[in-house]
Amino acid sequence: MLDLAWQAAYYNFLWHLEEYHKALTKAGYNPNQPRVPAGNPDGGQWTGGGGGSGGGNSHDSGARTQNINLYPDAIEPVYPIEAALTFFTGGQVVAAVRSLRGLWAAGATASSRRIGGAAKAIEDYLGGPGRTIEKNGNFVFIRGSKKVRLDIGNPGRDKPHFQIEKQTPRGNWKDAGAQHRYYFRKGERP
Amino acid sequence: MKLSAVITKPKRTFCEITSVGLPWEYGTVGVELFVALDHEYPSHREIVASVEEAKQIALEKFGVSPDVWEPVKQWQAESGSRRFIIEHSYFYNTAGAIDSEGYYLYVFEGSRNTRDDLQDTFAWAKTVALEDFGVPLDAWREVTS
Repeated sequence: MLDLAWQAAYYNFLWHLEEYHKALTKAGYNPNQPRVPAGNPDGGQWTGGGGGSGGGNSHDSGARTQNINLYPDAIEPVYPIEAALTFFTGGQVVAAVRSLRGLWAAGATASSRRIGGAAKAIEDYLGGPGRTIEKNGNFVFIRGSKKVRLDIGNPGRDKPHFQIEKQTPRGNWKDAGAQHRYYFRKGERP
Repeated sequence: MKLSAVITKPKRTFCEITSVGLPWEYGTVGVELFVALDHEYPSHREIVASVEEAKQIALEKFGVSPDVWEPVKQWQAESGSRRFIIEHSYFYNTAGAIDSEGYYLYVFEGSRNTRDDLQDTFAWAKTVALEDFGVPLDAWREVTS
């Protein structure tokens, strides 16, 4: 039963990810506009120079910064992607499912902000919303030479997992980090 | 044996019919019907006796016409204690149209799937198998039904 709860949570996560992308597009987000790198106090925000016409709040601080932050009270401006995706542990997932089903319409909840954080982590890794493709309930988010794969609907002979990949200059794809698969439960192994 | 079908109406639906077990065990037990409906969980999985029965269920329960099933291209190789499968796959955009294609490289140790790489081309899937696992380029044989 817990497996079902986890996977249901991630379907919700994906639905919100799509909504997040739609909202960004509606706000005039330009994926080609450069962003302040992680580690900087403004990390993850869009900088000037890319010619974006986006909405959201803007302010001048040296380089013009354009802030389209749909989740302003996220814990950190930029999440390491692994941390964001594995943030859903134990009862938090069940709580997230319940609050998303029951409370999303009433406005942002702590859980929805976490999901926004995970969506943002993917976007930060890709450098923008990228493209979403699907097969059998498995999702691939891809932009340029970066890819995030969520094997949820049909994870083969393994537990649901996600993979973070990059394309080499030769053209093949390989793991971006030391780990081949990341599982949604803390400490879970193949 | 693996068949795939995708429909967009009445609902975006991904379906597969696969022989139960791994390719080197095919033909022993029956077939699995897998159906993933758009944003619905859990996915539907059902073991039945034959491909025809699976197609009939897909038609009656999910509106998948028997005419839309297509074989999935697969290649198989062995090297040392490992077995390898390369599988062609189409990917779909959020509207249900084919967006792109790719080739999965699956690595099995016993019945355990230890790795799944997704490459853009068949040539790259084979090259990765060669470079990472020593699978000769000429070891691959097509097992598409």
